[in-house]
Amino acid sequence: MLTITSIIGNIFQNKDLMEKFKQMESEKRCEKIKISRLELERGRIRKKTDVGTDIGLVLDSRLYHGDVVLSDQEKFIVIEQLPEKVFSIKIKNLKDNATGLLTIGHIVGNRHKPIAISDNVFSFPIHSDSEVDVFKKLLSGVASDLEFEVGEQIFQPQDGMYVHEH
Amino acid sequence: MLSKNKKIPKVGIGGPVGSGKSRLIERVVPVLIEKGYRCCIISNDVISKEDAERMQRVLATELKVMPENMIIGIATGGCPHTAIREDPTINLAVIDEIEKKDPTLDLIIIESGGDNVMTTFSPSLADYFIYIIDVAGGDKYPRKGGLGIESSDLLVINKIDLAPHVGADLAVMERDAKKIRKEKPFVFVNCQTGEGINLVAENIIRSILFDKEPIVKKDRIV
Repeated sequence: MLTITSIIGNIFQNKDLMEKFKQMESEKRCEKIKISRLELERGRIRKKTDVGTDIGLVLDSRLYHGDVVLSDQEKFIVIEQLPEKVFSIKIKNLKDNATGLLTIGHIVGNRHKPIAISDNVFSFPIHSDSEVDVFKKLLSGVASDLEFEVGEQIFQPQDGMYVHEH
Repeated sequence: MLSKNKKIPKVGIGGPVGSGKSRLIERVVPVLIEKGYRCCIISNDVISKEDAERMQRVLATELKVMPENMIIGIATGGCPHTAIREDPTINLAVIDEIEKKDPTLDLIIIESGGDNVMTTFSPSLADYFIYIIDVAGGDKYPRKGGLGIESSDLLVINKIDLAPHVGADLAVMERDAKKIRKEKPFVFVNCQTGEGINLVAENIIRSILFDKEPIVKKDRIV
């Protein structure tokens, strides 16, 4: 088992690392540790890379999608967050829609979901399809201003909104 | 405060009331100690410290495998999951004390108070999460899902000896556990007889202790 105790950097924030990632990937020397969103928060975890290298991570900080945990001449190992089921709400008319926004915030907040907001899309992870019907029903009062979408994606919550969930 | 790299590995054990959390600890800890690993146990309970006192009686007084002061009871008040997830401050404070007092411990085991299927541990509190259910709850249990059953690192299904008496089909539980947990492991155990307990210990040693030798090798702890 290879023990790793620090993160080198992130390919999405460091151009040099992204270049090396692309180069090593093209040369088939890049390995990926596929990991769930919840596991990214662990300080200590044992995983195998996609080609079977046994890795023990013992870290001071949490992981993020794209973190590089090993980079040398022979090998490049990067963290790849697994996609999950995400419910997205597109708010068609943001202006003059305080009631709709407050309703969404109240309903989703009450269920302790981590959220992501980009432009006028509000999204959060769900565990099963049964939750889709629940949220559509709960939001039915403001549904005329909303568009719903469900899909698999790598969910990255807003900083400071990474709450526990249950 | 120690750096996290030097922190003692921590296993969280959660599950419904009466599923066998304390009994699992009473069974697994002697196996780990026999292999030389030194453990400390923190037992969360809502009102009493009954589980901690029972574990002290079994592990310290009767089996004499660990000192009584290495089994700490916390009466959390409130809902059990708040003390292990929303606000684990009380547990983190106890862990901080333990780490200062004896940094050569190999493992800290944190038992949650009995809770529902959405139990999880804060990642700041536990590095590895074991969720335990028992067959008396019905063989539908694994397929009903919930964060504990789906996201735990190890699912333990206890009281397998009761299956014929409560009409539970272990083959159904096995099929559903595989389906819902995909690659993640699960084990059937009988905490009364010790069946399956070695598999739980092996998972802990492999996944959280990284198959490393005990920090301080001792034949006997007490």
